[in-house]
Amino acid sequence: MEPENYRQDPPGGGRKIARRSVLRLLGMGALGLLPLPVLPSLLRMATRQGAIRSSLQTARTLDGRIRQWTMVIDLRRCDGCQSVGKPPQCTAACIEGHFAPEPMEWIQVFEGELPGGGTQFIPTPCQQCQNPPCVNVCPVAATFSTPEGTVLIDQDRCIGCRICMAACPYDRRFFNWGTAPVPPESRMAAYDPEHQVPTKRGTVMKCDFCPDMARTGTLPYCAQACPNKAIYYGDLEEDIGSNGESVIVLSRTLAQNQAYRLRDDLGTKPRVCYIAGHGEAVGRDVFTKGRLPTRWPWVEKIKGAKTWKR
Amino acid sequence: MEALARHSSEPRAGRSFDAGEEPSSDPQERLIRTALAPVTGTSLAYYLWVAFLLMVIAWGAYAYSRQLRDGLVVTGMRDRISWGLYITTFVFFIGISHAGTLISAILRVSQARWRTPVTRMAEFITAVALICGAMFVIIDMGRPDRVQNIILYGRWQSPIVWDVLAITTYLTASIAYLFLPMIPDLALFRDRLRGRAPAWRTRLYDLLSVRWQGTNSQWRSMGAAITTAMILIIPIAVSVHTVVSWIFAMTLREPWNSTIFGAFFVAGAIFSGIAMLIIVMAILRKVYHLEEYITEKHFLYLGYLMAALALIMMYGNVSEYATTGYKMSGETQFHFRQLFLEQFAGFYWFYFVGGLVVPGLLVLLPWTRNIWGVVVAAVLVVAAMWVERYFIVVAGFRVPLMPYKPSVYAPSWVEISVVAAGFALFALLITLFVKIFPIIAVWEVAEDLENAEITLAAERLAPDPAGGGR
Amino acid sequence: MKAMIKVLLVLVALGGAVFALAGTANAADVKVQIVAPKEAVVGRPVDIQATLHLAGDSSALAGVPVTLYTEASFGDVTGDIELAKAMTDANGVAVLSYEPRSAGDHQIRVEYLAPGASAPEVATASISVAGSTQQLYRSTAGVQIPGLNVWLLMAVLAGVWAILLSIALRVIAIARAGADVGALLPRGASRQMGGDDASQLDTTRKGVTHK
Repeated sequence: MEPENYRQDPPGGGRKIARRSVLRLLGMGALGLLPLPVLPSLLRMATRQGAIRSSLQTARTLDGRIRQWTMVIDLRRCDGCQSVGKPPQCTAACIEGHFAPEPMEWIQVFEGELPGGGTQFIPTPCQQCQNPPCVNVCPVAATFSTPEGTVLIDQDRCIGCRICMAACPYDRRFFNWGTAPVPPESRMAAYDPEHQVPTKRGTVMKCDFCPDMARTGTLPYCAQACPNKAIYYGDLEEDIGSNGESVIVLSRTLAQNQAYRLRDDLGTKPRVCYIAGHGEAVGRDVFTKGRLPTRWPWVEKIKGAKTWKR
Repeated sequence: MEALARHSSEPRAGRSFDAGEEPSSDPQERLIRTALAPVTGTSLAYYLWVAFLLMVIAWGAYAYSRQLRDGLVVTGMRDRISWGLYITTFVFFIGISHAGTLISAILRVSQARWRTPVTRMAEFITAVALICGAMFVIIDMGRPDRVQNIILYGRWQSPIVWDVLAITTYLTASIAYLFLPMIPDLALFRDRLRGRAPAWRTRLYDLLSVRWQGTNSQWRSMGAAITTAMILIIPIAVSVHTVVSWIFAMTLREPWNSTIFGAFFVAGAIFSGIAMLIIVMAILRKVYHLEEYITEKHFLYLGYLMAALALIMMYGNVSEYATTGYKMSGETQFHFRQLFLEQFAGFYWFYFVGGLVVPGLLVLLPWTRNIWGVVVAAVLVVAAMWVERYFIVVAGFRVPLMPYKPSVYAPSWVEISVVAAGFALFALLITLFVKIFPIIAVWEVAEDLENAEITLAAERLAPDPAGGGR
Repeated sequence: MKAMIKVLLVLVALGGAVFALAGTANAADVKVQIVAPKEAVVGRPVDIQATLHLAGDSSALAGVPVTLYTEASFGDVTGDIELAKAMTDANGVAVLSYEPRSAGDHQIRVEYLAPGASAPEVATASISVAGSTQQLYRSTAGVQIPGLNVWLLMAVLAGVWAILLSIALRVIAIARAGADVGALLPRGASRQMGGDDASQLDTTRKGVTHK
């Protein structure tokens, strides 16, 4: 411990002065720290880095309400593309449309066990949570929720810490571990968080819900490509959706078919809903297991590209 | 290390002091000479040791350059197990950093006198471990070139930002806390080594001793600053490891979804911190002949603390696994199987038996209750705590979230090299530190010696040169 | 046995006759009338009244389902969407309630498909839906607890750093005090002395300090 004379009061009211000076120091310290919260914005201005969404427009209805993109996947119609004898077509179309590098399946068809034996196929895109664990933990707001209720990633800001991948309970985030094996022409594309082409090494990617296409009234690649029309894409604000064949009222469809959301107990509030089933509407036998593995069509790959496994 | 110890000590004994001088009979003078010894003489073995460490670091730097060139694809991490050795080592080092806080601050607050000879080492371990730990976060990043984004776009809501804030605060506070009690010793070095040390070092002592003259007002200022720092640093240290655990506990993964995580990580941090301190203490004691000041008692007391924390860790394990295991909700069944029976069973049982039970027994059983027993226990604990961090991180990631086959993680040579370099850097920084700064808190020990003399004179007890612990 | 078969045959014949009669009776002219407001606002439910009665005696058709449709398009697909479904009451009246979600002029259609009929009975109306700027679908997340937010974290952090700053200022105070002593002593006294002498001075001074 300190020598004895530390504890003696300094002569001549020194303690009073000391206390006052300490208070003054504390006050000065607090004042000095006040600009801290403003500092990042000043730095941002100095480095002329803009907000991410400046280039993007919010999708709106005719009368100006913000669209609320959503997806309904009717599992009664999904047979994992067993009937067409091809790998899942939603995944294939997504890969081609987004130049998704191997081994990223932004919409992946999982095969889940049924309680009484047999399996069901579950096409799983990013669930576009309304309480997104990934957005909550991102240290730099590189992944963010949009007014349309989707979750996007800005690969120009992502620092590659991968805490969002730890946080995502649906295994829906993919990391560019190396130089991704993608076709050279994808390198020419203009990058936008709504259209994650070209890929950027050391950053995270995922299904972006194709908001750029939805804004122009086009269904996402996966919904377009599904041979059984199992994937509906829609707008909860106008309560309408389509699978490319018919139009539905989302709220009625969801209510009438006891729709559910994946791992709903986690409280993530996904925007992707499922109608329970195992391909019975397209005549699938639950005991016919397995689907063909996804293939990446990129024959010509950029130089120095390296493929990895998930 | 043993060989190194003997080798390096021989020539120095003659060289470091004025030649031919008998060991001083004045305990204060002897203390000062012991403190100065490492700074004034350097043996060949020391250079070899530093060269070895630099080689390991250079190899690690090469491995990291490969990682920078090709991306994280050169590691064993992949999408499903996306954190591995790097984050394990980060958590481990942050844990080690609690050595300084516990020994210095908590023992200082509780006025445990026996701590004085080991405080300096503990405080230095804290600062060095924090630097090494923080480094691993950057190494783990996919885009280290964008690290400035944390400041530019930092979100207060993110556990990573909490970590950055807590660790920078802790690093600042622990450097302050290392520096403050060192000022009088730096002044001693400044005065004693003038003309004997290279010019840069003289200038360094001049600068760092902040014109210390030992006046009353200076003692008062220092005392007040130390008191403030030691009280401040305890909550900061607790927050640091709590926040580190929250990187995991703030996610929705079953094995990490635990309210005990913060407290458990803090206990584990102090546990591994003590163990690392015992190891560093044992090595420096041997190499620099600090037997007079660091005695068996220090090892035993720290050993007892370690044993107590081993019990807390066991309790933490029981508390966590009993509550989740009883309910077996979600993926707990899968996790328990991999942790206790399959992939991670070896790691887990090494940690539990080798890292908690055996060290506890080594310290508490009378046959092994000596320096060697405590050091062996400490080595086991440090290894086990690293392993614990490893299986917490990797097993947590391995639990499948969707219907897919559980992945495997095998660290690549790059990761292993970089982690080895991290440990080498830790050792190197400590090795260099003892060459520049006083490794024992001279003025505090001197004070204890005096107090001990006074006590002796009054009570006429047998002399105990180690200086009083009570 | 024979008697049994006879009874069965009669029953089947009777049943067939009843079904045929009823079928023709229903499939014949059922009239559907629709009462709908001319105007509506997005997001406010509207009630559409459909009245069903038989064309012949204008008696009410009770307990049958009617469906409300409109045409809509999304994603390049245009088609019918079902807005509501209801049963007629004793007076043959069904109240179909729905909430318009998109602005514009909508053609709505009430259909009743009689059992056995191939084409439904239809009545249409047009409704003009005014737009709104009020967001109808909102998803909320999180709980706001007053006082517990980022500012608390910042305040704690600022406090801690202010204390650290005060420690730094203490160090400056030490340096200042040292400078004062240096001024009192002969300039650079300790520096000119030999190493051991200087340390002697230092230790003595320290010794003095804490006795």
